[in-house]
Amino acid sequence: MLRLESLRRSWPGFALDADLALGDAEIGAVLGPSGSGKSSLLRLVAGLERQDSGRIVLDGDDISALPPERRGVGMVFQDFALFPAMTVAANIAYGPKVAGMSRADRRRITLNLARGMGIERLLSRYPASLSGGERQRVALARTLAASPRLVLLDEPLSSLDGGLRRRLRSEVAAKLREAGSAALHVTHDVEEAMAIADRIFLMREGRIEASGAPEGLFEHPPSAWAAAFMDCGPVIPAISIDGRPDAPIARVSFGHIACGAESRCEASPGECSVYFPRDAGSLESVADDRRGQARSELEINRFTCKVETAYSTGRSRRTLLSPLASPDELSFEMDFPLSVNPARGEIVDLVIPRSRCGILQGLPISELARG
Amino acid sequence: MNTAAPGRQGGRLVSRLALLALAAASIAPLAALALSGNEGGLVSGLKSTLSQARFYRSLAFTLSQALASTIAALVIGLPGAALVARYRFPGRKALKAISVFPFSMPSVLVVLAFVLYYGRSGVLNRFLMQVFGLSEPPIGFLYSFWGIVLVHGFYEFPLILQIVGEAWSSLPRDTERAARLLGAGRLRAFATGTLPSLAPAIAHSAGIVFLLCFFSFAVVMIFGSLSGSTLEVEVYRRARFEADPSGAAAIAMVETLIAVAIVAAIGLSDRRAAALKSAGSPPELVRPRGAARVGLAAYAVFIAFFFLGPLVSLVGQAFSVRGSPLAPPRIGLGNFEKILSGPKASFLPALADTASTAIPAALIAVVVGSIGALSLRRGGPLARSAAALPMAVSGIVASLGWSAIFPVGGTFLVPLAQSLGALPYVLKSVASSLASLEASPLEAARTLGAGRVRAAFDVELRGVASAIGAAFAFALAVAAGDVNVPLVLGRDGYEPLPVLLYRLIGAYRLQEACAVGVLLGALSSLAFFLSDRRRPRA
Repeated sequence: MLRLESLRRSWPGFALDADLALGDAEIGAVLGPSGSGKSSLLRLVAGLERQDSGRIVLDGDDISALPPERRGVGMVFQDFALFPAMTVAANIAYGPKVAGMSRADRRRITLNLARGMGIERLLSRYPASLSGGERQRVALARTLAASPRLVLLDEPLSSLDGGLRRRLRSEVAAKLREAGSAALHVTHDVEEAMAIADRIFLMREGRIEASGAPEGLFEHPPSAWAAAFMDCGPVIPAISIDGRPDAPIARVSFGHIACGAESRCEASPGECSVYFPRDAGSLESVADDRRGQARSELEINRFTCKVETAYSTGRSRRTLLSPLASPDELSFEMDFPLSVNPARGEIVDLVIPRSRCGILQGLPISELARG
Repeated sequence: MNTAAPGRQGGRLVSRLALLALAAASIAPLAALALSGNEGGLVSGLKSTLSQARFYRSLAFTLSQALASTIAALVIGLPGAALVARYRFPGRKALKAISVFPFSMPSVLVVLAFVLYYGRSGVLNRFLMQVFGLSEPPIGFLYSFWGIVLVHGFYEFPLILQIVGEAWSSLPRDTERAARLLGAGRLRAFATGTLPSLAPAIAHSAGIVFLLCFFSFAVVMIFGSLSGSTLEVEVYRRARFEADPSGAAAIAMVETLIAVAIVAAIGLSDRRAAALKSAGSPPELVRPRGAARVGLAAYAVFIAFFFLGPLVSLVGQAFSVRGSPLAPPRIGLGNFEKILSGPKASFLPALADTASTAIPAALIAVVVGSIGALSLRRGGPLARSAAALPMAVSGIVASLGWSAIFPVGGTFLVPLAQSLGALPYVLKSVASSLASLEASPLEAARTLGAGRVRAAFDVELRGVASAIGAAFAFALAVAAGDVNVPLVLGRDGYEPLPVLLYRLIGAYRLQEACAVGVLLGALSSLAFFLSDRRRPRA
């Protein structure tokens, strides 16, 4: 089990301050935008950087002051960091060799891992002659060969192309689970984090903003920023919040949205947002006599919108809608089944069930930029 | 709670100690020389030396010949750099390869080649006298200021060609093209788009050539006896022949101070070059057309005539034998037989003497230089200054300094002094190879359980093994070709190849000297060839 307790480090212009707990054999994904401090967090855990204060506890041992080689923490680097002057076999066997294992043991470990990774035929090759995917596998095998208590992965898939990246991410997760070691995987790719992790740590400006199981975090993002970063669905600034605490109703620029009971915003109304998942809505056609008119503001969770664009993503129909009642030309994207195919410029009613709407603390990123 | 680990501080301490040792290696001989300046000490030595007109004549001569030689090297080297950087032509690789010339060819050998070619009874004069029916040789400036400048110009221009050519060929041409599209003419576009990025490389190479000419010794000893002497020759003469150690120490101090200023200026141009490093892919080479074609042909003829001519005549002389003084020369191996197996066979003992000092010198330079380069990678500006110091201490000054530290003397001092001369090249070569290594494999080794020192050996040193091999060959050739240190520190019975050459030239046994020179040149070239083949695997 890994515990980061008030881990602090500051650099000129940036400070990192993190608390985190990861269970045994659990895979955690540290998810956040570029510059949020994800890689720095990993480097602190690995001992490649030193914290100003705080503790790093691994399986009950305080490893904060240990040099990297004595922490029992392995790392897969973004550029794989293979030793260019060593063969693949020597790369994989490096950790066991440093640990003083016999030649026979090193050979056995190397062969087992190479077989498991499907890189047996590469053992006598040098890193320069390997493809990106092969390097990635060698790097993971090298890390696992040292039997670390914790594996750190610093965006190891980011330099690979889309198809290979998707294939390898499930492979990496499977190998890590097979090895049974806990892992912390840094990425800025939401889909990658969802695919690999048991638990996601959302990182923003040097702090862990939220953490939780992937699905829960996606369905109920903890803040407007988290919802916007994870691209869960539209995040709309709320003008005011009315209704009962167990049945809040948010007023937005184009109408009223009734929300689920569990959602709450402690901040003042001007600093709250409304959120609904992109696939939460349904489209209904509008009667001929009402075309071109906005619905009354009192009609809740039903908005007359103009279809700006609609295209197939292969799995759904992504549709850009702009509510007619919106004074500020607001628009947002929704996903519908492929069978729904509205024409560009068509006027439709968007209906969103109350149970899928939530109130979030904070404003969407565009509003913050405007403010 | 501050959690800086003791291991980290230990590592820093080791690298600081390494740099301190590096700085001490250059400062110790200098300090010893200053302190050995006997009775009156350094201050009175400085006072009396600085009041002598002879010192100022020598200073003026040193600076003016170095400046004129640098300009000559620039004039010869820059057109070559432009051609190598822009055009694809047969012989381009050969032109780039002559950059090793100043290092692989001992200065004494170059002097010999120039005497044979440009001397009063040299190839060129005989050719001109025959063609124009002259009774007197038309070229007679070899043993003068301009002779020194000519030799230096041809000896050092390959450095300009290599450094500027390399910088030029890696410059993206887009800035120059952008200037053309904005309406600038060809020349103006070059001045706006290319020259500013190239200027640091020109300044850097010119600085190095200036420093090498500033320290010139053998060339000045042979050609400059009538026109003047450099500070380096002055130090040697005062220490060796005039029993004036405090004068020698005083001049050595002034010489080193000026050299430190030159090294600092070179360092500044390096920093500027790093700041100007432009991104973008280097341009494709094109085939020369029109004026470029004519320019290339003219340059090829010029280099063949003035640069290769002396070398060819040296090889020619080595293989030319005469039955009697009046008999016409013929091709044969007589000269080689004389030096290899005759009663005065001198080559093999000289080769053994060379090996006995050059190999330890190269080893010292490589070990100290590699550790220094590793430390330099982790050090700041102070470390860089410490590493640059050996450049500012000349061979003669280092030799005199070491013999002041060990007054008993002996050939064991030769490798110590020679290693200092080779150190800057080793440092530069290993440091630039280290700089091209990524940091992450080193960190990966740490996370895989290797300590700081083991990671440095396994990853960094292994990664630069080929550069270290090349640096060893380089250091070996520099030490094997050095005449300055053996002249100062040599004892009876110790005569390495350059000293043998020097003696043969002095005794006018030029053909034997040529044979020695050809063998020495072949050995140096072989060392370079082997080092060049050691490329990283995969």
